[in-house]
Amino acid sequence: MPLEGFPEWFDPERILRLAERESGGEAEIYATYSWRVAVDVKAGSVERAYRRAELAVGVRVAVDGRVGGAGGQASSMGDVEEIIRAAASIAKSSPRDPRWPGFNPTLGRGPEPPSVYDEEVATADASRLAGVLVEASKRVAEEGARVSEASAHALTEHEVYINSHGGPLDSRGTSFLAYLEAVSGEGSYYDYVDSTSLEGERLAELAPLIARRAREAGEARGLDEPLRGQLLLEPREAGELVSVLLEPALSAEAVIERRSPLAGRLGERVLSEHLTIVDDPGLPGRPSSRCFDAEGHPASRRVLFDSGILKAYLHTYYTSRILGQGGGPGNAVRRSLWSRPVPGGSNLVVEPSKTKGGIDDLIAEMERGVVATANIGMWMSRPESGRLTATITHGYLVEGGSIVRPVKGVSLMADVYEILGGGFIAASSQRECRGGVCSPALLVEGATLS
Amino acid sequence: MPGFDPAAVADLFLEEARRLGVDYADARIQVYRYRLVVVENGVVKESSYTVSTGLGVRVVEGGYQGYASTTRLERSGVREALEEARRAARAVASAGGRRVELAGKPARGREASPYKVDPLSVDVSEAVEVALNTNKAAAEVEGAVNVVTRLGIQYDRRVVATTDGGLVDVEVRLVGLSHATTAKADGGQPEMVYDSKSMVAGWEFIRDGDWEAMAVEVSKLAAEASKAPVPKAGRYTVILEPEVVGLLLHEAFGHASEGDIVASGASVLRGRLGERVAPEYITIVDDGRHPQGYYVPFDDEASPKGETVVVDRGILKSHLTGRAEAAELGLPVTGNARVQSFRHPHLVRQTNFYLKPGDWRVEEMLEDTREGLLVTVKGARGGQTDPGQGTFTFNMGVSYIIERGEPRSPARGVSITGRILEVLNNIDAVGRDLRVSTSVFGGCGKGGQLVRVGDGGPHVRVRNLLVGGR
Repeated sequence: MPLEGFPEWFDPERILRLAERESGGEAEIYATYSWRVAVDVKAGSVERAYRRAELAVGVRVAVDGRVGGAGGQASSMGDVEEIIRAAASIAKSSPRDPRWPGFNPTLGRGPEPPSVYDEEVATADASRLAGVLVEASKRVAEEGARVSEASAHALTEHEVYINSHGGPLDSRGTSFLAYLEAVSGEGSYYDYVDSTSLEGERLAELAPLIARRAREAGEARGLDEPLRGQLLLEPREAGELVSVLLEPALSAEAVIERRSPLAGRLGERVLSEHLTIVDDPGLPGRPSSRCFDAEGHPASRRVLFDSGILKAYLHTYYTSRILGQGGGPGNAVRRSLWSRPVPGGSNLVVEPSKTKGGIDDLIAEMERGVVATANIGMWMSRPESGRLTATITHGYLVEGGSIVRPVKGVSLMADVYEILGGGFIAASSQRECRGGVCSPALLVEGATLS
Repeated sequence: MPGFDPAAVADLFLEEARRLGVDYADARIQVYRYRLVVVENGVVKESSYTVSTGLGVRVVEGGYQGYASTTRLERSGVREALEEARRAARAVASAGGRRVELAGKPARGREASPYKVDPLSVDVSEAVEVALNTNKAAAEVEGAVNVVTRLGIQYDRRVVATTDGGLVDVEVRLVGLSHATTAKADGGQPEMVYDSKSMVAGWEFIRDGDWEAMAVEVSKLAAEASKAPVPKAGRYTVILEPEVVGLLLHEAFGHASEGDIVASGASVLRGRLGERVAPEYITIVDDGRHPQGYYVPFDDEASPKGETVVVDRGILKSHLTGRAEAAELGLPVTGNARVQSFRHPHLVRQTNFYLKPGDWRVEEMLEDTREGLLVTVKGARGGQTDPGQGTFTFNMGVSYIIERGEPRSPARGVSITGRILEVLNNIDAVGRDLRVSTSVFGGCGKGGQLVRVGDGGPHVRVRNLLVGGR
């Protein structure tokens, strides 16, 4: 029986046996068949559309702890055979990894996350996506701004994993991503939506806010003097902070390899007692939700920080065997299908406040500080030390609980464990999900803003 | 290497495009291979090989453009890709999309980057040995707690064919090694320092390099930085190393000069051609053939890529363009339409973007600076810009506080922020040195695509630059 979504000639069990035979060892096969339809808008009108479909195959083999991986796009068994030969050749030339525990022996499915496949996304054509962008562009124009760039992508992906211990495991999912940037005078602003469903209306609802913030950015200026005050990170910004600084530090590999400030801190209160963070692969409607991870291990919900106390790390099978503490496997992700699995989150969820209100209520609590609504450069922060750096490109100066004026070009530096520890003030009551993080707005103090 | 001839696929494409009767079509046939070895704390964490071969096509019909790609390179696969791209173009037309025109005339030619020893012909065990030895040397430095060494080899062959006569075939080999050490000295904070050297060359570049010395220097610097203070936030006189100048120009000025961003209205440089944007001692170019940069003799529309003078003695002279942007903006085609791979549509991208040297000796520049910061790239995470507002931010490497004309004590955690046009006008000294570099491990990201680029410049001094700190 051919696998759903894959070409008929693609037989993972046969490919696995070939890889085992070629290498003389154990093997794993990880493959996806995907198709993407996308539309780009430039200066307010649809510029181009494109479609691509491809089968990508990753092969890793291990012979007595010598591991090799190879992969790429394949259009025939001949391509797959070239990949297998390359992987086997690498393994033979590699030194032995003395800690190699073998491929994950516990294959299986966790709870099936709801709403990860949407037929409307799977069948969307360029005209449908163009309609989404045209409608959102109209809303931007109604608010006195214009769209400089926008794009919409509909991706459908079938995946299959098998290794010498079991499988195949297969799944399918869809994702919809729409991005829109507006300009007005000297100002610009962007935002995006991502989901497993075709949520064109959400982009249209966001459009007036994008237009307003583009207008405000034209009037914004920097701070008159450096300040060490309060900082309110809107949910998108707070989510990026979690993704850039906490997720890498939670990796058990970073702990093992001595590049995590969370090493040796299991059971300690690391963050504020008001912060609980979980990894939840079962969230409905999120592209990162899954029932098995990137090495076929069942995926399940895991509490990472419980009321600020570090409870667990993110593990692959390899790291769980070496570290032996801080939870078990189930959080393998990969840079490519043929690269080694590394620990990573599915959906990292920062629990919202049960007692506080929305963002406006948090602003009303601020004495003096900045609301960050967009940044550049946060991705360059240092997870090995917890040092947060970024430039706030869009935000507001707040004094006495009220917004005074828009700001831009504000340099931000902080220690993430200080601002989310003793410096944490409150979270808002509602969270937003983007990428692999769901977070409420976070109000903190102790950051240097200049 | 694959058992097919990319040039023969180009012929198939041209035959099928003619048969289909489209107004215009172009094809990119790519053969890509990438070897990566990663060693962390003495263990080979990854040794992998990427295989990617395929065809990307663009069809322009009635002025509307559509793209499609395939890995099926026989006649039926080529035909289906063309038909799919034509359907995409028609969807753009039915959505009331914009029409494109293509300016200029594409070229014909064949080029290969220079090399002595084909790096993919060398047994992977040699690459593993170099990475292991480098990693071991770095780990032996006191204070080093984590050491990661990567060795990368890239082969990229692209054949671009167009129905209006263009046909180019370019082969590039790129090799490099990077090393990162995280150190924590007694009483210090963990600090990561990174260095990387890549070259468009063959295995000889790896074979002849003193990688262990580079890695040891990185570890020593990380240990030193671990004890260093974070400078106080504020405005400083800053001397930037050539690599920092390259990053800054690429991110903060280069992106704003890209014709697609200019045409969309999201660039601070829109409408400013012919204006003075910098002092007269500032000349900035984009050159696809700089010997220390990445090798782009033709772009992915088959246009030749030479040296484009973007700023000539302070005057904004040109934007970077592909054929569509050149037609839209009424400018010459500069050969900057590039794609990450056969799967991607064209975007305007930089090639090797750098500042031409001036007349200051570096020693003179330092002696002339009583107080300030010398900002270096080792340990830098990179930078990002908002081209619509011209705002940039860079997370820099280990830096040195300048006192009485000399770099004295190290400082860590330096980030620099500013608006590029203000910063260009605050440059008051340009060195006579020049360094341009590229990387086999990264590149420039834009619109979801990553392409290899080079950048650089001489040392420069900037007055009144905002430095983020404690």
